[in-house]
Amino acid sequence: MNTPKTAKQHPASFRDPSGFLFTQDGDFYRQVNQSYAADYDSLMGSGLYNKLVKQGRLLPHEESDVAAVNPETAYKVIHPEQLGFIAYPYEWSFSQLKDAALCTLAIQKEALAVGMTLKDASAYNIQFKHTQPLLLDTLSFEAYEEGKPWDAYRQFCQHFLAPLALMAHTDVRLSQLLRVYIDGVPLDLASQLLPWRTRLNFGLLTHIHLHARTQKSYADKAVEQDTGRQMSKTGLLGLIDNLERTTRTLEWKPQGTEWGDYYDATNYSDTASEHKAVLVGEYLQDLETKSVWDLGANTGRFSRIASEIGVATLAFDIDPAAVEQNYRQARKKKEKNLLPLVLDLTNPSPALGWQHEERQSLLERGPADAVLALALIHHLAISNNVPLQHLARFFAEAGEWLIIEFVPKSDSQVKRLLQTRKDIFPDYNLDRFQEIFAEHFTIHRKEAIQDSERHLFLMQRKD
Amino acid sequence: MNLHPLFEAPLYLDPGSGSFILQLIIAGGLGALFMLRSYITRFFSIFSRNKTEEAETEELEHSENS
Repeated sequence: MNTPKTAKQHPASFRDPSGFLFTQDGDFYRQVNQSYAADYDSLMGSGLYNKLVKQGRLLPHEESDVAAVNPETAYKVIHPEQLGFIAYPYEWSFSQLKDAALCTLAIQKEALAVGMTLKDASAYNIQFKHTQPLLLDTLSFEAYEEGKPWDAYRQFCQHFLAPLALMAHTDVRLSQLLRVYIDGVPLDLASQLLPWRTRLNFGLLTHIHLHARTQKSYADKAVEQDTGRQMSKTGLLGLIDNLERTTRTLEWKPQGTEWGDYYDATNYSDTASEHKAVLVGEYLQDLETKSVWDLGANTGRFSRIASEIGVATLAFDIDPAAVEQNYRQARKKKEKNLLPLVLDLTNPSPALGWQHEERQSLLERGPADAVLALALIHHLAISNNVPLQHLARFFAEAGEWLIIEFVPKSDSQVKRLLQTRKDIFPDYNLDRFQEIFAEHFTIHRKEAIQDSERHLFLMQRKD
Repeated sequence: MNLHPLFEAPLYLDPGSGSFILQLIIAGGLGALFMLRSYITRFFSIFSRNKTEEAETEELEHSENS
């Protein structure tokens, strides 16, 4: 048996006494506690584990001989399949959150079919493998007791239904409430923010508006025995079925646009765009990278140059509509290695939760092997006034390699940004850009993009 | 005060009294609706042997088009 020399309990894995995650030698393991032994054996023995893994809805694992971190409470140690970047629900687009919600409900239905139930329904327990949502937490299952309501009902509504309803009916940007409320959107807040007409939708009326009311009426009150009522299994199946129907009916699309032509309009000529794609492909071919962060990826045209050669690629964009379209396209074509995510680079995902350790900041989840920054720098340097020195430092921290496009002031996009403001950016020119970035990077390649005023660079961080 | 017996099971997550009560209130109606739907589905499936396959395709299309 190996000795856990460097074993460290994961800082976000402390709530559930059934076990916890730990890392050893860079790999994730999960200690299953004795108190969870019966439920773990039911999960494995009932065929539920095999079925969910086959469906791609549960992260597979193997039982491991790595020593437990707390041997006195341990039943087993399991070694789950290792995932790369962990993304959070506030970084998902509308359909990603919706698919994660439907995956959770599908798992609950499978569990109930073999006499088990999900004891939690946290959106943080779901990750995307390619475009398929799957449950990470092997310890989320427990034996179903006839008559008992669903313990995770409140959590499902707060983590999934409330943010989805707010995104669909109020404003898609309200997904960011998940960043403020780590245990999901409080239902009284969701109820206040949703338009009155959502009360005409039976599911939303019940699971959000009435739910918020009953929570208020019963706040701090224990449920007394004389209520005497129980919830039949049919009632529970009816509840799950209704949550599923309510979730499915939620839709979002940007106002006044159709998906097909949402992002067709750019200021690129076909020649420039093609040439840029060729150069990005050439640069990436030489690098042998395993991970790419495409920052400002839009709908992922250039991200796909990386993902299609087998590189795990994250396509970040600030625009929820661009990320939504990117995800839909990837899902439809069952694309591999591509994960579109919503991110405001001027205020990237911070470290959150207890002791700032439950959710990692963007940079804590890096660095990537390579960063793509195409048609991005002018938005950061001019729209957000970030000096080039700060940008170079940021990119050096985000990845070893950098493929960056410099967009000069003479470019129509930059002209547009400067149209309504004073030009306070004397350093923003090609020469100064190169000088400043050369302090942090070795510049390996520099090419003018045909039929444009832009340049594409390949740089490597200096050690 | 005697707690409802279902609340005595050790839970690591607080299911919330209000969330608990609401489920007890709506369970009957949703359960009945669910049963009715399954009977209707079963009734129509007699007429269509490929019903399950169709439903699966529809579901797939729905998720892709949505």
